[in-house]
Amino acid sequence: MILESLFNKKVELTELRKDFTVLSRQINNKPIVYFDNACMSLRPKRVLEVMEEYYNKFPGCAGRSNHTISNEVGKAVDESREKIAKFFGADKHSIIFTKNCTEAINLIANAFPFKSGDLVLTTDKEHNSNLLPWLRLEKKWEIKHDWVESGVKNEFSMDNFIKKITEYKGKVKLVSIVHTSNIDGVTNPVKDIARVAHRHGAKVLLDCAQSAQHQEINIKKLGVDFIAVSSHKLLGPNGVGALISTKENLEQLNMFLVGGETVKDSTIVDFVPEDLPERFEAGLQNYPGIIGFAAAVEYLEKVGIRNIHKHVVKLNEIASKGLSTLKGITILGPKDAEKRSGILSFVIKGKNVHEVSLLLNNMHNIMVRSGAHCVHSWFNKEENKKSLFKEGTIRASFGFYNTEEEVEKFVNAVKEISEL
Amino acid sequence: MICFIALIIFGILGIFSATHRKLALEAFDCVFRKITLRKCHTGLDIRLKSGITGKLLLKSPKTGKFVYHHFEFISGVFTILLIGSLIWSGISGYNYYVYGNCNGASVEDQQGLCIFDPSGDNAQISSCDNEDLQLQTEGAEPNIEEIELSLFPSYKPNLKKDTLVYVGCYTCINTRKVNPTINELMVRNKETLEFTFIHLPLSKDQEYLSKIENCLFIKDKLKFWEFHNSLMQMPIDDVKDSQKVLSLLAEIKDLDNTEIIKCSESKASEDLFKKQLTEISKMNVEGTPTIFVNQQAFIGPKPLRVYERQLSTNTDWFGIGLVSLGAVIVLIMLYFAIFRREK
Ligand SMILES: Cc1ncc(COP(=O)(O)O)c(C=O)c1O
Repeated sequence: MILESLFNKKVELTELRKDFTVLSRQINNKPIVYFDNACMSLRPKRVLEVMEEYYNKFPGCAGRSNHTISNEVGKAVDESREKIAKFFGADKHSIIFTKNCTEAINLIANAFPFKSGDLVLTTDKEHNSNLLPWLRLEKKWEIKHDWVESGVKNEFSMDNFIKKITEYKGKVKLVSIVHTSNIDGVTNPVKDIARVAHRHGAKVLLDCAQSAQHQEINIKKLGVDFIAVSSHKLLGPNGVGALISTKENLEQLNMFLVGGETVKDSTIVDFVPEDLPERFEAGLQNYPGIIGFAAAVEYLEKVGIRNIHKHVVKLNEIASKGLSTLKGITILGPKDAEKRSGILSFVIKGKNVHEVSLLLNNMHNIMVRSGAHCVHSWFNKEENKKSLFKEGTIRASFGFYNTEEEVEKFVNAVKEISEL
Repeated sequence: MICFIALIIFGILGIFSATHRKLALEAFDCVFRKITLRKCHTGLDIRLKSGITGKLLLKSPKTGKFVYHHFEFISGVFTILLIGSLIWSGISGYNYYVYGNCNGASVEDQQGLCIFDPSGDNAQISSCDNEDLQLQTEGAEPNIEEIELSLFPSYKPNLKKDTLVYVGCYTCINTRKVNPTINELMVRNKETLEFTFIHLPLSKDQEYLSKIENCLFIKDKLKFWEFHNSLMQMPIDDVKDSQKVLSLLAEIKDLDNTEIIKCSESKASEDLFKKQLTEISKMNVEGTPTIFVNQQAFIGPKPLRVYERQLSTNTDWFGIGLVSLGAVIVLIMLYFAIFRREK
């Protein structure tokens, strides 16, 4: 199987798979099939190598001390910041490192200059990480939260959105939406959403936790104001994420977490805030994480985001086609696999979703996820509670290192279980 | 159902390992809470079912399919079996505590197989090959109700509340094993426990010992007990040597041993001994030691607690503890079943 890179250099998939040590792992003498990429992607050796290099060669603080090691970390972090920012089409001063995507969203929830009576608009398919921060604001301050109901086949309804934002007559200050849904893989029409939102005076925060691995995320091209990502979903290490924006937008935010690194100077009664982006990066940062994150985006660029997207969609098409021939299977979301990116969420009539995922694991080492995927609010909607999806779904999510043979194995295993 | 089995099994394993303690808590949750749909959390029951059927389906698809479809029923059967064996183990444990064996009070029970005493040490007796003695009639329970105990040497307390009849022999290893226990029991209960020692001459050449003892007891009770204890402490081979036994008798201070020996050879002594043998034959004992505490017979050397529990002066802390523990468990279960159910 060949993946074509952006520069038209052919990349052999079997060669790429060698970069992911875990893929050669066997459990009970059988190879593993990792289809839980929406939860966490695997890491190539390069990411681990650069992180190890930090600990072995320059394990110091960046920007605090003046010695050689400290300067080396500072340089590595600075270069990493630049690489990651460039990957998302941003300026290196407009990227704030966080712990993960959730923390990036929480940063906006706490730092955005909301006034009493302002409103945050989301969709009805948000991950808890892009719902709870707003529910908390609603409980604590007089900031309201509302959502846009999905349309047919669970896709974003532009009509509902326009209706809602118009109704609120300029009160909507932030539209915070998921880019690609983690329950059905549907990608929202962000450019159009951003255009409408801006027309009504609202800023747009995009949750790119799922989309960043398969799609080009360029903040300028997408036309949004803030982007939240997690490194662990795009081949990078755990414990690091980012909020990406523009200088102008970040300048408008209030300070949130404060302390070391966030000030230029302080007296016993006052302080002078640091410039961007350090103003929002309180305390000593996850340097190896940031360096690993940069190695991950470099790797993604090497393989080519478009290649990745094409490949996972192809795998999803094969899998969806295979499952749709089986009795009792219902796929969540649009029929067309292309609209579901690398995610295939489904149920088997009469079978508990957790049971199916466990059987896939126990019998064939096929690792998928089951349940509500932290989007409880969607599954708890009255109509969904009565639907086939009341227990959640079984979710297979593909990565570019997955193969067609693995997908075939998966389809056969689901067939076997559905016939039980 | 499967959670119930898991609760018990992980509960027991949890005593030894923290991982199992965690699983036991999960199983507890699974049993006592009516689990509502938890979309991000897989219940233990589903994990166990998938774990078991997944493995079976790979080994034998037919069996796997059968188990998958009848999982509830199969776990129900196992639950019943498990409860049954738990109750059975509980009863065995109780019997072991109370009677020193797993099965119960009767002689047959006492000699049955017991997991807590796999070698059967607690029920071992030395059997008799004395043709003068017609011992136990097959299947009959040992008893002392109609036995003329006054024919045998005894100790009378100030305030009798319980009786102990100790059928033993000086050359028997099992009697010697239990002897310190009986001494301890006597010391602890000397104010209330009436003690009768019945020497059972397991072979003919031991009969003279009964006669000597009878004469000694009539002559001087205290010296009898002194002689009795010395015999129990003497090496078995020495007891078998009559010369050595008679020397032991001679060593007792302020005692005319020739008088005792003469008495033991008299017609009166022979008559008393014959009467004793008739009484012993009626007791249905099989061998030594057989110990009666207030009519309850114990075969073989038992631990002290077993004898002590039969005394009327004993407070049954074990029983009280057991009942209290049972009550606490029932209350906890009720609490979780009624008040902690998720709506
Ligand atoms: C759509 C979406 N948003 C947000 C998150 C939260 O990401 P993290 O847990 O890395 O902060 C996830 C994680 O699965 C997700 O799928």
